[in-house]
Amino acid sequence: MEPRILQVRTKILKANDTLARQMRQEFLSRGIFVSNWVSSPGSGKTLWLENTLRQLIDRGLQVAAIVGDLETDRDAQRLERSGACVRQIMTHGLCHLEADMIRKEWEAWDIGPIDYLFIENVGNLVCPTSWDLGESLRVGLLSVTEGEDKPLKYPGLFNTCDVALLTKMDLAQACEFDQVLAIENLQAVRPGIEVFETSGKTLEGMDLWIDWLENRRKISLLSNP
Amino acid sequence: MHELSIANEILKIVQEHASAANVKASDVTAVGIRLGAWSCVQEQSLQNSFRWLVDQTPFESARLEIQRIDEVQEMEVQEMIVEWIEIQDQKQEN
Repeated sequence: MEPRILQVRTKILKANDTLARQMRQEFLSRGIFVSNWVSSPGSGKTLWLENTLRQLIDRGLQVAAIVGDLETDRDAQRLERSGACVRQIMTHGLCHLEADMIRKEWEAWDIGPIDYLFIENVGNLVCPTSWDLGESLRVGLLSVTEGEDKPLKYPGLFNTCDVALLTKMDLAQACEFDQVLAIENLQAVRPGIEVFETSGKTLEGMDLWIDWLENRRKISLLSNP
Repeated sequence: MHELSIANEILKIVQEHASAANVKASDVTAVGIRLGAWSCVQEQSLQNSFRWLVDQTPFESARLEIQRIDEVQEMEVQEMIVEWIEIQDQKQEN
């Protein structure tokens, strides 16, 4: 008997995508702007996020963060120094966060009204690419110590980002980092991407970043009343 | 590593569609998937993960056929789709 073919044509991550879409709608309806931060390990995500949280709190905004790591709650402890509410997800070997992990954490969290929820993904330039976490903004970070060609080597991840942060700019000269080339490479894989040059040590770029972020939050909430 | 999560989702979709079509798991002989050029999936790792998941289950006859699509016009670069399931109906015994 000849084999027969059953047509399926279903997205492999359909379950995750459906949940993420529901979560995004729920977050926005509650006035919460969610961002998902992705980068390689050691790119300076946690320091820049800690500074971001502190700056937003200083502006009178309510902020919270969920941070993913394979092991330890060290990053959660660092982010808590800002005064924000923080939850740590330990993935115990899993290389990325999934929408259901965020949902479970969120539902178990007794937290008051917030304006921002930041998700610091597991440090990895490959695996988090395909998992929508219900965010309204995906932030990709690239440190000067990694080299200008990272976007070309990992186009999948950078292609999914809405904004890119060049971090550790205080080390740019020592690393002979060519930011023009780095931006060209980012634009090659994600045309039109907004790029900020930043330093967690000197706070270079912080005011511009916070103003931009606030603007994005307001536009997002206005578009989803 | 994330290939194991992807293989698990593939298997769930196969189970769902096979069940809806009243197809026995042991009759599923192949699963066809398409991956976009920037889907960040390592094919051998996905094959190994799928095999590991289905071995010693009713789906162990199923092989995974992966088609990578480099043409951006054909599908989105990050897209990952289960396209079809091949079924070999077992002969009825008299």
